[in-house]
Amino acid sequence: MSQRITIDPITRIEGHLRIDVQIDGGAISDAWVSATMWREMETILRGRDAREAWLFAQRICGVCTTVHAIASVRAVEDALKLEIPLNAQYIRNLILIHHALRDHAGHFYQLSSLDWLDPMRAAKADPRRAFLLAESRSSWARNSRDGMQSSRDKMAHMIENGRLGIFADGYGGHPGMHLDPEACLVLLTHYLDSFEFLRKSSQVVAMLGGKTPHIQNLTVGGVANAINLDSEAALGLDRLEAMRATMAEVVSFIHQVYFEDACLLAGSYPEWFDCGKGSDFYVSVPDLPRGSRGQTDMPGGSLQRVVKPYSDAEFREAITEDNVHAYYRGNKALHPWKGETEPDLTDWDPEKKYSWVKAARYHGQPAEVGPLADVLIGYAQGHALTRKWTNLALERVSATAGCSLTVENLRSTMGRHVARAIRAAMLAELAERHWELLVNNIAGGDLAVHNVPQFPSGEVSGLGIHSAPRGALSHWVVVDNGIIKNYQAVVPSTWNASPRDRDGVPGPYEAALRGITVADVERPLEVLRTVHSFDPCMACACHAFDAAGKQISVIKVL
Amino acid sequence: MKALVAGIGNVLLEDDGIGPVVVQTLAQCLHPDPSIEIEDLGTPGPGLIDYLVGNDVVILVDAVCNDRPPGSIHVYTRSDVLSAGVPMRTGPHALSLSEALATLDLLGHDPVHFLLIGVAAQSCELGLQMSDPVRNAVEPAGAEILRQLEGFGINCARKTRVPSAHFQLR
Repeated sequence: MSQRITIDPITRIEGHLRIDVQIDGGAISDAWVSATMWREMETILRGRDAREAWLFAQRICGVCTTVHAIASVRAVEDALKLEIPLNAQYIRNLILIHHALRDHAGHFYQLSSLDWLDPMRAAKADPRRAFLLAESRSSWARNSRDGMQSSRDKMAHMIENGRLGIFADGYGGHPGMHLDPEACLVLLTHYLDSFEFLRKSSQVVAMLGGKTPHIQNLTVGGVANAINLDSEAALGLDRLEAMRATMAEVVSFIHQVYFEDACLLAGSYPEWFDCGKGSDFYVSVPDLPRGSRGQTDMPGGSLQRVVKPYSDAEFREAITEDNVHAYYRGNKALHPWKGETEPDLTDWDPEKKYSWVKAARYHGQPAEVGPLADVLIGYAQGHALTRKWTNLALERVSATAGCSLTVENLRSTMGRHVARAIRAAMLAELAERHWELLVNNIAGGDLAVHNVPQFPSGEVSGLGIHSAPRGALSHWVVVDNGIIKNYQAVVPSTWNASPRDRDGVPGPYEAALRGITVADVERPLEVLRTVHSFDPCMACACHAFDAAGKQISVIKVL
Repeated sequence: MKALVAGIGNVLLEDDGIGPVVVQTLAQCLHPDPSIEIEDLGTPGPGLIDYLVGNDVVILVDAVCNDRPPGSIHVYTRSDVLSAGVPMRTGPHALSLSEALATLDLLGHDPVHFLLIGVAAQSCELGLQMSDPVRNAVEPAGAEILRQLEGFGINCARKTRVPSAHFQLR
């Protein structure tokens, strides 16, 4: 029997992510992914002073605000071939790391754990046994029997009152929910703890960025943080020490709680390592620069080759986007600097046009980006920190699952969650290292934070790349006499949520959904698990409260 | 008593920028006060909860879709927001205001007072200019916030010389 289901709970006007799947004999035979709203940054940026581009670009999204600010400022610096001082690199890196830690762990607990844990089962768990389970996996000082008891009681109280609140739209009772009650309670308790600890990660971003969301300390050429060890008004010893104390709490939560919980969850659902593979091709970009000539703490490239940061000619040439199945005119595959964005909205038609996302291709191939790509590529390149945390994760997951998993098993729905935890663990380790690099550099007498940009007459173009939480982000800018002439952002979800290209080859979400078994077409939990594993962010752009309708309308722009 | 006044919305989407513009204007008109935090939160998604925790009074200002004429101001209570229900989570990042309030309740961090100052939007398309009726609502919305704060016993020290024009994006 063949069935078609569409998951599109928000109307076309509000715009979002729509998924259509064809189900044959209980399994998905084909899938189409549509972004239902148009993003057009270049309209706003064209004609502006290139020095202010980042202030506007970071408003693309309120969730990933810092990532667009960083990619944008890097694109203009690249166009000018402008190096930034070491202090500016480390300050930016600390901001990126703490943004990513909040984003990764927040995705796990607050955004996707309810795909896997049934709060009703948590309400039936034995708090003592849940505490013993937590204690057997981690030495986190906050784990306690009372903590488990308290969160179980909260859950039971909500169920008794019939007020499930935030858990009401979950998939409790679905046959695919088989995590045992004690594990559910451990995850639910840490879900509640996560709000406190992840807030601290945002505090570190704000200590350096002035505020968050939407940091204010960047400038083309560096950062606007005055450094003076003897001043309370500037970035001095007091603030650096306060930052280290806050960071330490975040780092221990990531290593001792999030990483362990991700391994516990993954080991409890080993069947999800067998499906949801997606594309065969992965792309990652290097990040966390140290020093002037291209050294970074996070590697990038593809499984076939290493990408050198900021100067990699091949990466610049490899990317094209085509509009054959996207709501724009033209059917040529064009480079982002030459990109054309003339809207051509038609009906949703899987044979013709069905998405506002262009089909991004790397040397003509669809590419998955994100933590899984980053981990696979870092592992293949022998990157020591990637190997250390990947091997530890595989060991922990295998022990829980009672089978032996390898890095190849990560190419799956559950592999993406494990890869995200691996990347977070790496970033947490690097947070402390980059704090030390910053402090040592300042202690050595270097107080520089900014190099003044000089805009040449005539046209220059630049590429800004950033390994964002959702993967390879690139901003492409053409500057003419200091004024922006063209601007394109190729965001991670452009890669992953890509529609078919002109050769009919599906994008990574579409490929990952093929072959997934769906137990209950009325409650397509398996589809959501697989799509959520990519951490889709069609970029929150507008929240408007709808007093008449029975919901908050959320307008989404990619 | 600690208060948070926060503007929500995307300044790139015309009238949706009203929240940030109102709080930026307020920040210009008031003397800094450690007990009143004035924040432009943009579109914080799931991060919203981080900013709400730890406040006795929370006043948010945001663009609203309702049946009123563009630019009109309506004050919503916590129960107005909660009774709108928790909409189906469409994407993992689509955290609604009612969901944020429900989570605060679960965490035991409910503010004593919560209000949403809603300004009816005319258009939320891509663009930096707000419509005339919504731009004209900036000062009345700011005044409404000050009035509400005073009702909660929080008196704001206004600057004697107030900038004549509110913050504007080109």
